[in-house]
Amino acid sequence: MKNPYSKEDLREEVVPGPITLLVGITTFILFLVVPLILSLSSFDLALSKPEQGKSFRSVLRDIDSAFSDATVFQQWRERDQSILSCGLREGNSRVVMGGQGTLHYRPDIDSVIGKGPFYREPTSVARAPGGTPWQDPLPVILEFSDQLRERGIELLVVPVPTKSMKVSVRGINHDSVPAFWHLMKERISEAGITFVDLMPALEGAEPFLDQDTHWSSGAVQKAAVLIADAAALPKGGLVTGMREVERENRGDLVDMLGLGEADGCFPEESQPLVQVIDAELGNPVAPNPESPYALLGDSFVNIYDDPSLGFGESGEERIGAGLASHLSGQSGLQFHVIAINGGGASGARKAFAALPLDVVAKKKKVIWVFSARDLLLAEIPGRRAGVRWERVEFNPRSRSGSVRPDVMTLTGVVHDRSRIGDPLETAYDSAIYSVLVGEIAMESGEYSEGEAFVFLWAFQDRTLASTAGLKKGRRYRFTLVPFPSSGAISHATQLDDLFRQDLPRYFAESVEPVE
Amino acid sequence: MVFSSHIFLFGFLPIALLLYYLTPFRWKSITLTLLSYVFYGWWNPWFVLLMFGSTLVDYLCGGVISKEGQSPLAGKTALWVSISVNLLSLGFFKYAIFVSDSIGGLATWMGWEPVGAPDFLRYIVLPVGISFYTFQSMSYSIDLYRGHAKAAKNFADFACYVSMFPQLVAGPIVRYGAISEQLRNRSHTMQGFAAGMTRFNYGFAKKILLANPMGQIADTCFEAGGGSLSALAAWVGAVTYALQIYFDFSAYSDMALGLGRMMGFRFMENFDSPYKSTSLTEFWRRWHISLSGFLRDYLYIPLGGNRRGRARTYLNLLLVMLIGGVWHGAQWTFVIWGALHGAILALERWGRERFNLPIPRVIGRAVTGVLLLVTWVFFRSESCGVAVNYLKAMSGFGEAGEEQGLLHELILRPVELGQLCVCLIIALFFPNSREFLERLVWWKVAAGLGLTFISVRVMSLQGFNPFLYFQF
Repeated sequence: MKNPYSKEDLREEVVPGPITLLVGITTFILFLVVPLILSLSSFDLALSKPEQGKSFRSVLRDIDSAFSDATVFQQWRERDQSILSCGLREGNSRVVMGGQGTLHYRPDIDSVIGKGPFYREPTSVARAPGGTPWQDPLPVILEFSDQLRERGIELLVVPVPTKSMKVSVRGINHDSVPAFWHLMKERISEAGITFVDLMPALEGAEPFLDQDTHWSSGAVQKAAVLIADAAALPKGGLVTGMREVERENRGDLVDMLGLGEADGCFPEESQPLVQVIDAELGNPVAPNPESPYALLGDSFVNIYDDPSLGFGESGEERIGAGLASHLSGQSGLQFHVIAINGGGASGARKAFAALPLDVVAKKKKVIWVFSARDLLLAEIPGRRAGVRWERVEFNPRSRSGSVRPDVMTLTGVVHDRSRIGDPLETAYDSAIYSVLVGEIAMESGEYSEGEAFVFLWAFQDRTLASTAGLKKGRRYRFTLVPFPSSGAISHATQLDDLFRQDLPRYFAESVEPVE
Repeated sequence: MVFSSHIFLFGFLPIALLLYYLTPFRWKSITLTLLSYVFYGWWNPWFVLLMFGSTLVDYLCGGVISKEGQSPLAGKTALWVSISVNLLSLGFFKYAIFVSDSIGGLATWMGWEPVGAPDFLRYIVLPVGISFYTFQSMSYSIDLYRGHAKAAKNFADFACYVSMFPQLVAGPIVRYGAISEQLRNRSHTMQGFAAGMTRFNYGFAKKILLANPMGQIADTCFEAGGGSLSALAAWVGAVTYALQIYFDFSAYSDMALGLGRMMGFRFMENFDSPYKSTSLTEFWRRWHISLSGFLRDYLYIPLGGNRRGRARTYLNLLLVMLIGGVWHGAQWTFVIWGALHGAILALERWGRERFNLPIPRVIGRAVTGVLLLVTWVFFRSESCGVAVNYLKAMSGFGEAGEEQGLLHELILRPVELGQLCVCLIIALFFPNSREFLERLVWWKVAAGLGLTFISVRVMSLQGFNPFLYFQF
């Protein structure tokens, strides 16, 4: 039979002789094979990552990652990115390099130029089989306010405008405020919630750090004045003093460029900080979990207080120049600070809601400070930036409901665990994750619940922690302490899919498998 | 698995080539089939079962259709079983949620009780490339029925034809008759391998160095809100999307042809410099040629083609393009895109028959270019509302405010403008891959290798970059 499609065949004339072709083919094959051989050691390491009760598909994804993160490609990536960023001033998919040494976080820009939080993605686009459904921010905020109101607590919503709203890509100060910002402000205010507009606090020479997503120290001080005023805080009895210091740091946006050791081409950025000192103790003002005023937030709250975000000195536990410190300076009050890096939209609220009933009952006001990026991104860019708006349920138990000794040791079986993403893809260096432990056998201390809700390190400095690989259904020995209310753990990004507000939270200081 | 990924280039491909060439010829089809199942199952292992099921049904139906002495009724029944199974599977995975949502929308519009889509429909994952392989598999039964092909000698050959990984997920849509002979008898030469390798290298470079940068600009513009989308930004977005989709899809085809050639297969060309067209009619002879051919042979001609009078011809064109639009995706935007193309094709035909005016090539190219840009807006937008707003912005009737400056600073930087100009020049004035590689000389092979090396380094910086046509 005649092939009716023969005319569609590809025909070409190959001129080079066999030796030339052999050289070409050999080069091609070597190019495919050599990087693989060079990176076999790192490939082994990647594949021998601790088991995490994964599905077959997750294992395939791990193999994908092992290939793309193999040492040789990692080295190429760092070298090429440093040529692009240090030489040609080009960023990457997450960082836009602008004029006058200014770096921009791409989701910040998207939150200004995008379709905004009131845009509904069509089902065909937004459909995420097996994924978490997208929650719009406004209903979540209104519900949280209602939950607080029922408990006699007033909520102040304080979105921190993104850098792109105040600084152009060219590095020039400007005002670029999308219409949906005004609409959001209007909707929140209409519901009787105090919306603190920080745009006036960001007037002036340098509202944001050049190499960082966060605001400048000067902007923090101005914001504290505005917030204290809007919250109508009473004058407290804390006597404070001020101390000026000069500190340096390389910004988080430089880290996100992934330059490795080549990040030295970005000199450290200097900031004049004003520390707020407790006049009686001579130390930076400390947060107080018993305070009736809670400050919830993300890294915009932690910066200049938490040394893990930079600007700290060795051995320093608290810098004392962040938003909480300046609010204390303004009001003479201490605050119960719950600020989780990257957890402004949901993490901090979840942590607050998980507090024992009697602790929450003592609160009068909640000041909720978070990046406006979380508030303004539409669904698709929001998902891409890892934003999650979740409803919270308040803990119905009081502190007396269960005995919480300082340290206890128990063995238990992991019933469920939260997922851990790729540490190289997240915005933060470190994160903790949650597991649910059942079938508990106590070895020391006392615990009265049937299950324990335990957090462990997922990754630190973008390296998976040894505690990341707990498997469902296996028994481990845990050394647990009550979840700390301050320090690096309390500020770390929380990966929590389990959402067990009914149980007290613990942190595992150590864990080992039990045979 | 995506061609432009580390796992494919440095894991799957060398292993696949090694296994393929180590296998004796009579087992090569089986090896290639198994490799293709691994390639396809990498997205979701369950999808392999679906493809295997479709393959089995079409093979069995083909057996019935081609059986000597078979009654016409049995042949016809087998043909319809094959067509129905393929279309039902495509309909369920691709169109169920769309139909359900459209019914719900219609009910709301009519003021009836709201009709919500069943929840399970929202959790259906669209198997990658299902539109391609169901069409390909279905064409086998139709070709057998028409006597355009001989039945596959064995199941392995047929499974290899359906699943062949080089062109499995985004074409070209290969008809069985075109490669049945190659499945049984093909030559593996150094010349063929070198030609395929070079074609693959140029396709890979096209994807990484041309399509992806254009895609970044296009995505920025199409994701922009009304407040930032100025007329200038909207046009830049439309042009970059037009370039992205061309380079992306033709890059995939180049890589598919190249991979096929490395394994001794010759697939049909799928692109022929479509943006050099002087009319939309010509565009469809140069764009996604395998789909145009499929629609022509299996839809337009059976509908009567141009043999039933002018009005029927125009209607046929409209219908064929509508179905072509729906084939691309389960959204009203694709329906409108197809309808617009159908209407323009009919209008061009009417104009040619009525006036037959010679139109200067420059004007033809410019008008065709603008028509394509406008219709691509529907193709790219996630909803009709977004498309209309985008077109309003293109016409200068948008609502851009102070945020437009930020968007301009992002997309109109010298680097982005430089990339845009280079891509435009290549698409409009340079020879296409086939023309360029028709005569393969040493420096083209060397340049291809160099481009691949650069592209791998750039790919590492770009992150995940799936091909646009994978979603269809």
